Amino acid sequence: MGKIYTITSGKGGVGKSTTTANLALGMAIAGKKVVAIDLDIGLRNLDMILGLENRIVYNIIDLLEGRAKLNSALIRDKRGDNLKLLAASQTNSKEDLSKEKFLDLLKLLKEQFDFVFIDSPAGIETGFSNAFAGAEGVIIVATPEISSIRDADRVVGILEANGKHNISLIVNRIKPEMVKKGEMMSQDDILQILAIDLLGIVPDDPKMIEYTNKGEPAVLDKISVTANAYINITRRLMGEDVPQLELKPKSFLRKLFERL
Amino acid sequence: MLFDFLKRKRKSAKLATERLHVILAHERGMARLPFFDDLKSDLIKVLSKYTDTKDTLNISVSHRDGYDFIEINVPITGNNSK
Repeated sequence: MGKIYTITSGKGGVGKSTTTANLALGMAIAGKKVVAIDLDIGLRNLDMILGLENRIVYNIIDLLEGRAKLNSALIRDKRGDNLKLLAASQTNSKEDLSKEKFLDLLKLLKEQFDFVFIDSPAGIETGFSNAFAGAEGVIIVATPEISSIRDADRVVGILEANGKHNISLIVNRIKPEMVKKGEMMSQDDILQILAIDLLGIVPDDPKMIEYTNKGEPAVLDKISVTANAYINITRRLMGEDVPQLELKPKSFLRKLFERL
Repeated sequence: MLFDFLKRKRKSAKLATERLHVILAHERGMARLPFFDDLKSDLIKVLSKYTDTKDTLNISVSHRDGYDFIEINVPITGNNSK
């Protein structure tokens, strides 16, 4: 039986879809059978981050309403057979997704895949409860900013009130230079405030925009620290005990080297 | 001023952490006690029957040692006891 993880956040724009894309692709590269579901109905994005936007014919609403078969709605990743994408619909609204049908679909997917990653819409409005209803684990993405952490805390409260206790945190876009100077909260500060488990930390990477421009997620750029961060997280989700990355401020020489 | 210089040296990450601790303690209390707003307005009604402290009373929720506390501070001064 596969495991279902929902990737969510309180605040929008903190990197949920990018995280989902990298974890799903990272798992696929590690040999697991993975499906990534974009549940941000009306605001589809996971397809572009994965570079699969030209392959989409049917979306999740087509599938749930019986206009498409499972095999034609699951879009095959161009890099291999292990990853499939189930795209969000652009023309529907969040209310159009039937929770019962969606939960039935998840049951079916769990039998066919090792991991199901659900990219949830931001916030706590409609669609949010669908996104975590069938999940074994919820991964919260937060950046080291007060608004992101405050909203993450609200989401943790709502999840706990709904009986979800397997909640872990990815701290995204950490800038080690700023943390060292005391200008940015560290992952320890954030963990102490939110009181949930740390799943991983991901550095702020100026190359991220390039990865999205190309539709080739960071995890494919294997020598990068960011790819390493995502790979570590996928290994933890597979049950391995992997120490947290130690992010160090870049030395002057390293910065110079990277400019060349 | 000489002390402005010292103030500026206070790290903003520490300030962010402190501000979050305060606001989240309050918001978590609210989430756990959904009746708090109603209780608060009832308390104000009762207290203002006996005192003139309507504008100065302070009712808040805090969480310590695994318990929620409703804290009510009613300043009673000589001229506002009815």
